[in-house]
Amino acid sequence: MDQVANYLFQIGFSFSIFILISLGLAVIFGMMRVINLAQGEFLMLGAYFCTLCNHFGINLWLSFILSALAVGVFGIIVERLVIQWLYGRIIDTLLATWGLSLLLVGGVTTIFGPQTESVAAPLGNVQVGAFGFPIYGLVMMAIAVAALAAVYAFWRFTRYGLIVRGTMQNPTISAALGVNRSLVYMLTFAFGSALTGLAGAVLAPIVGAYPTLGIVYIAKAFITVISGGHLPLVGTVSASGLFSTIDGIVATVSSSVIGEMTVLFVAIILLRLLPLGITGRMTRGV
Amino acid sequence: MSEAVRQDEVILETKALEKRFGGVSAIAGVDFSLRRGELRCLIGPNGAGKSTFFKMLTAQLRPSAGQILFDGRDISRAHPHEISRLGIGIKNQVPDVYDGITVDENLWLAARFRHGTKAARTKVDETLDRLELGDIRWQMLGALAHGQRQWVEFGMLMALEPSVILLDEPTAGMSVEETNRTAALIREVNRTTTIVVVEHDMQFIRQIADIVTVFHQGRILAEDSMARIQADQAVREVYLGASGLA
Amino acid sequence: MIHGIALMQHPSERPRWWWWVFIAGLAAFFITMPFHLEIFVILEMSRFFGMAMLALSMGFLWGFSGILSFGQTAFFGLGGYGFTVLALNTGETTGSVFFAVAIAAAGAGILGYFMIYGRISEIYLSVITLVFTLILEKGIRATSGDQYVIGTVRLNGQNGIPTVPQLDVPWNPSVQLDINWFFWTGAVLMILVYIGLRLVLTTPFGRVLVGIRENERRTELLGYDTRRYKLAAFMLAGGVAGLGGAFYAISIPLAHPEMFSLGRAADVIMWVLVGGRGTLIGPIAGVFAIEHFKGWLGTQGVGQVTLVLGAVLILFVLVFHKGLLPSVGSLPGVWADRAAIRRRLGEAMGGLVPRNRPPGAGGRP
Repeated sequence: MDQVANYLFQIGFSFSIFILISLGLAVIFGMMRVINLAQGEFLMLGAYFCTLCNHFGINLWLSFILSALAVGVFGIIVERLVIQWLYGRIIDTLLATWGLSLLLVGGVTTIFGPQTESVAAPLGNVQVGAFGFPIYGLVMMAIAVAALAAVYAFWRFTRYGLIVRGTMQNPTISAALGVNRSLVYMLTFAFGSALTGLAGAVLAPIVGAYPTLGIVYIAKAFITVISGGHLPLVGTVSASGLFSTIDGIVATVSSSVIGEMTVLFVAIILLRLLPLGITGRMTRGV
Repeated sequence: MSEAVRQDEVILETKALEKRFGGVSAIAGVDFSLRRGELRCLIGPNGAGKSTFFKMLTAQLRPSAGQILFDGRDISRAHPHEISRLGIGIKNQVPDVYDGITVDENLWLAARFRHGTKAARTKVDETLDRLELGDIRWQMLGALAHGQRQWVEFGMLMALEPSVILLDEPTAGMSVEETNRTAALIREVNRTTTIVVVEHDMQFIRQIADIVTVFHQGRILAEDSMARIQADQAVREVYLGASGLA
Repeated sequence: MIHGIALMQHPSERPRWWWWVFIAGLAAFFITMPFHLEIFVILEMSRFFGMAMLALSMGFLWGFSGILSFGQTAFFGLGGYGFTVLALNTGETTGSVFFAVAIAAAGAGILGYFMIYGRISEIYLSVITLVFTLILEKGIRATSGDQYVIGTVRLNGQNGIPTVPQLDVPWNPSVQLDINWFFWTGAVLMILVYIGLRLVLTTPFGRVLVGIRENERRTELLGYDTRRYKLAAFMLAGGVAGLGGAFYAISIPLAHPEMFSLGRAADVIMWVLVGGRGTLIGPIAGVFAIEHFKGWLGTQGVGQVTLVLGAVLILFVLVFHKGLLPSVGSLPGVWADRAAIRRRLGEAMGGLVPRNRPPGAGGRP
């Protein structure tokens, strides 16, 4: 019984991490087709911002929101300075955002140094049989699901969501219909950045903040979004579900690195079988 | 038509060919057959399905149902490179060429595939002569005019010496003069090769066509000589007051 | 956009006499070096040869078959570890070098098969190769325990394997190469790889690769099975990267997880981008230029080298994205084209000229 609970917790925890780190990328890469290799560093910035807030004694939950906003604003700056010149130039985007990633890692190391800044994880443990589970892990799952639901609702049911989806599908028509497409691109990029900033902040209490934090998670995020296929949300959720199940089980029986490697190999084989990703043949949904 | 003996032999045919996109049938059961040595034109108003049909013939789209037979062999599930190996030369509407290398190298890549490395050089020379493009031989293809790029691509097909050539709107974007030269070129190649042309330009079709197949709403509406097609009432109606055929 | 190459020499042509003169000059340059340079410079330069082979593998793959693999470092690392583990187990180095090449090429073959035959798009390929090298790095870093042993060799996780054997005289394992001979071996290997790849481009195989780079669909419509060509190119490049990795591991001497890392992968891009894609000599020049530049930066106390590198990379993409060497090679064209450059600068800096490319015009990969 408690063994089952342990597996469920591991899978759920892994799922929430997959969702959190992939959601922003699903918006920026999955939806806008901007391949942002600096996405991991946005995560890292979110984590740093959270530790800073903590340092100034700001309430943890409030600092999650502040971190998301801060990274969102940072996203606007990046979009205006670099990304907006590169739409449609996929390889160049790849290279420039990689440059940005190096720049951010270097910059943060210069300012804060290479050591890990930490935030105390709140809330303690809950005991199930022989296993103790951190309550904060359960909170993370809740945050992941809430973020997912919010993005879905926003996309599906708001006017802005409709404008964005239309613009991503056919920028020319949207422009003809009077949409300011430069603004839409900027705000969508900011939205994706904010989601990643939130993820970084939420991760900070369990992993801390250090300059190379992004590199640890970027690989997972990209294989999730790529394996998901062309429907960013449905794809990300189904790929997260698949990978977190594998990761949760393998990591529990061996080690987290083996879990991650297994996920990669599954993803590569999956892409051989379904080159367009899990949602490759679906035509409806977001 | 030098191969008079084999004229009646069917080289390419489709049986009950269908293509659905979602719920919409773009091609709804087409039986089509082409005899060796023919020069066939496919026409039809926008959305008639001729481009979808073309893409299926060239393995760029998979049929939802039905068969495509080339020389009696089912090719409806083949890869593009397999189609070409069987002897079908394909030219899409947009010039599909190598812009970053020279005209010579473009033709060489085609010739070498068909004739091997040794014979490729002579084949390139021969094709350049036939196309009368010897003077631009060493130029980068990307730097050439639209018409010239189209001809080089046509030359690549000639160097492949396929038994059937499929062309999608070969004169799109060409001037009158260029169109005339293309028509002459197609006629010349047709002496040795079976050709299918998808076209809009009626002027051009009149210059080249033996038999015309008219598509409408995913089916074949009519198939006859150009003169009879122009007189056909149903076809005139499809083309809205016959202005397109005037 | 092809000015530069056109002016120098078209790579599919057989090299002319002056190219061989250039090669001889290059060889003479390297051979005389140990006679007039300090020993630490020679040691430093020896390190560059391994990197140059890595750069060549990337330059060949990206520049001539259009495959942008961000994970050449995976094969570099595989080569380094493959050599070290086998050489330590057998006490023999010549065969181990061949083994390093083979295992790297085999790794590339397996990964390449899934990606290329799965027909994933080029962008996905770039990302997957990057992910591949990052995961390998993680995997190697996690092998610090005593249980991770191959033969008699401990993998040692984070710390790497410091006991990489020095190269010995082929088929005479009792005699090791001294510093000068090791330097010369590296120079000769690098030049041979360069000549080899250059000559591959003149073969039918090389010309089909260039065809694939220019227009994969057309190449397929001509009847070539492009997947086979791409896989072969991917494996060839993997093997070259493996050779570079083995040589690099010997030169520092350390087989370390760093060989797989993101930073190293970024270096590779930088070398090729700065040296110029679409040439083979460019990536080599890129290694020497960038690595010297990094060494110099390190002594200037600017703090984080990656910070500067990142800025350089962004600048290169926004301003000259064909690389330095082609830009220099096409100087006459550049002068005629100054308006175009100003326009490009304007676009990059923002504002001078309206953008002419609609956002999202690239469509989905």
